[in-house]
Amino acid sequence: MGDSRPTGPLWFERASCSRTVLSGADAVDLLQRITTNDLEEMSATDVRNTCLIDANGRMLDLLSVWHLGTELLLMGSENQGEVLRAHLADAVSWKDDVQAADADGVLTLLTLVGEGVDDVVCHLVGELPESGRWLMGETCWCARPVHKGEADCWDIVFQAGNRQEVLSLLSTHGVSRSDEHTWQQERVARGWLEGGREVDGTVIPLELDLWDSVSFDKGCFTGQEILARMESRGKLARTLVGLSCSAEPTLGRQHTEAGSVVVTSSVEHSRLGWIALALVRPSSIEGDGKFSMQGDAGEVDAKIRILPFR
Amino acid sequence: MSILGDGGGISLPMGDNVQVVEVILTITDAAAERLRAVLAEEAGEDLVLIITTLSGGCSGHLYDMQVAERPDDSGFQHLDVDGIGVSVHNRDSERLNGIQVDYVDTLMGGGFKIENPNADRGCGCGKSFG
Repeated sequence: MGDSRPTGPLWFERASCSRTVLSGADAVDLLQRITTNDLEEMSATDVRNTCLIDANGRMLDLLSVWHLGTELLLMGSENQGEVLRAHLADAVSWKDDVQAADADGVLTLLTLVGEGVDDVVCHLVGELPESGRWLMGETCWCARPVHKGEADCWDIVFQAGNRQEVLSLLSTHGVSRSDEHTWQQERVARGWLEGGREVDGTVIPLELDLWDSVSFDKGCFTGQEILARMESRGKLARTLVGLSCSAEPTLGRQHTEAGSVVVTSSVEHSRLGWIALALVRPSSIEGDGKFSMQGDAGEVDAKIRILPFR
Repeated sequence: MSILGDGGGISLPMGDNVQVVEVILTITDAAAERLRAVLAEEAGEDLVLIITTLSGGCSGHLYDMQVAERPDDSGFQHLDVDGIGVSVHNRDSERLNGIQVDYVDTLMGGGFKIENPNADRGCGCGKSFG
């Protein structure tokens, strides 16, 4: 297995993550009512994550909300844009002063990862944005992805007209474009969620360790009773973990000696070998965390790892 | 200045895709008595009860009731229920058709309650439905 990963920092285009701009006097109030986090006290330059869930507490989308002053920029998970926009359209009452714009063709989202990206960000926006804040440079906006919380990772957003300038700046500072396989290696190793894989309509935010995206004291929001019950009982039916595997595991649900396991993502990592993200029973983490499961080419030995992989 | 710049983005339809039905609703004697008292206390002409649904609440939607002057927006349906003026927006018509407005008086916190035949679920506090 050769290491094909480029050395140095990388950028990855997040084209399948929806970009939606909300405006109007009731935009924050609307999100406050229909998503999980407390957004009421947000002010310009704040960035916060929040989950759009249904009344059964199941994930519809994980949103990064950037407060821009008179507008809110919502960035969703991969391939969940239609779900988000249909939900927003249904949620706006005749009383709500809320307008929404699909900004997919207007704004570009890139994620920068790897050693050295902090220096690049300083070049782009003047200094490193504080945690939970965005900063604007001449060509782009930049913030650390909230739930990822790692030192060498930033999201940047720019208008389509600035594309060449931004990409040229990244290239000048040694940031290479990542291919899909390299991105998946980074993503799975870091335990980052992807729409349609980890974020789907079967899972509850707490099972994905999205505790920092849920407020338990902001009052009612759609799906709140389910999350409050899970929190007060202190018991989750399943939890997201990493798996180190002896070979490629089969995606989806399977029954193992560790109970039901749902493998949501897997990738052959240049340093870590086959790794996966999976939902397992919390009791599976106790003990040695080893079990066997089905792989695409026979039985696979798996060992549970706490995320992110080290 | 908008983050969208000159590009503008594509405006998304908000709340337009709803079915409009002719609303029928009932008000119990207890609720009617209480509503008449509230309407008499309020200053203003041509006051009505406006019943609305908002997204949110544990189950997906919340009721909102307010006494206000009859809205002149053409999007409203105006009903006379036992002499009480009630206005419902067309966007809420499907969700509110067939409701019964009741009033309960208990030591543990009474108030108006809505029985909604369109609701599959309600939440513990009784203020939201889905």
